[in-house]
Amino acid sequence: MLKYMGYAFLLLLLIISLSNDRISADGTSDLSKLLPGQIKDWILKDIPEVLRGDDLFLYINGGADIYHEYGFEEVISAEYEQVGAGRISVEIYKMKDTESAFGIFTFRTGGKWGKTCIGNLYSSEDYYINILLGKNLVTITSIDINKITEKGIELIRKSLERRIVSSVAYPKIARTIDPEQYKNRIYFKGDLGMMNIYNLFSAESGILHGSSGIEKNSIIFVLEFDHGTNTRKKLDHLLTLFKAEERYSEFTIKGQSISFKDRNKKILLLSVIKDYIVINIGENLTSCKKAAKNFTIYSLITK
Amino acid sequence: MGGKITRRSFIKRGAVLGASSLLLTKFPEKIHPKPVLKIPDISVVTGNDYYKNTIEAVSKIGGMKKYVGKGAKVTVLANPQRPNPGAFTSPLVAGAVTEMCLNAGASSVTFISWMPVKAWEATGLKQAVEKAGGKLETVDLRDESMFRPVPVPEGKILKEAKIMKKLFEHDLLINIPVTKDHIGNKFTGTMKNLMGLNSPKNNRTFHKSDWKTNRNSIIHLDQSIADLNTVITPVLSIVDATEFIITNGPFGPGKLLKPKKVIAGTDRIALDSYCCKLWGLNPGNIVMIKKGFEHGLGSIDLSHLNISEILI
Repeated sequence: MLKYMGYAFLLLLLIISLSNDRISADGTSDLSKLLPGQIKDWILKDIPEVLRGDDLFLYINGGADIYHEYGFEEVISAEYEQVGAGRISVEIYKMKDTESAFGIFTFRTGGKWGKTCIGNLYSSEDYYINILLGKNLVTITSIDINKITEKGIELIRKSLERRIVSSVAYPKIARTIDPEQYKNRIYFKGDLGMMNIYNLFSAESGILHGSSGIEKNSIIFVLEFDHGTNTRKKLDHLLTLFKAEERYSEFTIKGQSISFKDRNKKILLLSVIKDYIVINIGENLTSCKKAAKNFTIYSLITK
Repeated sequence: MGGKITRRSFIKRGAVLGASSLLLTKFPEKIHPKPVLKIPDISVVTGNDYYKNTIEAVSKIGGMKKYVGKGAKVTVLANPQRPNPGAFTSPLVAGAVTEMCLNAGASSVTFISWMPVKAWEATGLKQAVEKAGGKLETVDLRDESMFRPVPVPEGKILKEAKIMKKLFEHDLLINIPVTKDHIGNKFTGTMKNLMGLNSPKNNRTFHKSDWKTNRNSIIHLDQSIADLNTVITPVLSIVDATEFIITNGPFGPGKLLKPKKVIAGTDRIALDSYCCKLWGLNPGNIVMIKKGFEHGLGSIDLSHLNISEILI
């Protein structure tokens, strides 16, 4: 009797495991389980490749540093094929936490993203999409660009969205940028992250991380540094960096804010707002001051 | 003081010079002299047929016979990084180069790589090379015995490269990169492609170990690339600038630019400088190009060069 009860229990476990095809995106599951062998007419080619830690350099060579800075853990790379139609590649980058994944997602999409109908952050380009699913950044690409692979990308995206339970965690600093005011928003880490958005400094600045918003001629940077908490010191440090560059001139210091021009006559306004250094770049000082004021109001009402 | 030569230092210097001269004389501009007079420094051909662009670009700088002697064993370095559009050398360019070398009298044309065959197949490069009469030889990227230590006497950071042994089995090298974006140093072209001959383990030293992406990391990477370029001299570089990514490089996927250009020449710094301008980069801001120029590898100022640009 006990023997049969044991079999029944095992059978029950099997049924539960088969029926529950949604996999937690908290990173505890094996990435390869996220990729089914077949999605409608799209068949998984070969065994997906998984690379961890430093091996990312073997996979994407030169581009690996920035992923590591954001907190890369592992990547799985697979290819689906529909014979006669083409190939689609799927990559899932698992990051150390949801904030890191959010960061690399905004970085890869250039800050231009929206939401899918079930609320996941998503960006679509001509022949590929990026989607943020919890700790995972998923990139789905048409290797052979045509109408069938275009539809296939959407099919695979929907399949993965159904399979991966996810939630988004915006880093606190990223929540300070008003989405109504800035369409392109990026959460970046380190100097390289910032340099990929805007070339502010030639020297190493010591930025820990920051967020940026870009809208037409207006740019905002919200920065956190690693050198002490004294805001005056932070401001002085930045002023030294900017003054060392020939392209900046006409420095005016007023209390906790500094304004100056770059060689394209754009105005840069540095302010200390809450615990952040905020840099507004715009066509004139009035617009920069207005943007700084809007930031102050928005950052007060957001948590 | 520093100038004193001991027996040990003499042997050491001799070994370094011997090994470096071996590589330098293996691929010297002396054996395959730079063509001078009347032919352009750089030829740029724009058109929808990338195969024809390649043939014409080489023809404008004197034709393949200028670079490939009869019976020469030619090796070609392409970039098969990833089948993402605009992230790998076009198979049409690779096929055209293979054909031109064979037509010029090369005894063999071999593409060498530590990238897996799978990557070459997925990009269509293997098929194109073989169809044109060339062959592909790959080595296991983790097998360090496949790479030969090569001193880098002029290296400011890189003191020893580990070059694929297969390179030394050939008479000359033709470099055919795809130009594209790079998240780190913002640009890849002829110079960076040579990392494809250096062992991945050695390449890893080009990147700082702490994974912190500050300015010093970029300088470290770019100086290492420029250093590597001092010990490898391709006889000819042909850059695929037909379709390439200008964001999320070097791996992609990213925003595609389609200038439909093939660019050929022998001055790699000039070629990279030219390619930078295709998507609005200032070559003077690319550390790798500046460091290569400082090494005397070529010209950064394009205004003094004879550049032929044609549309077909």
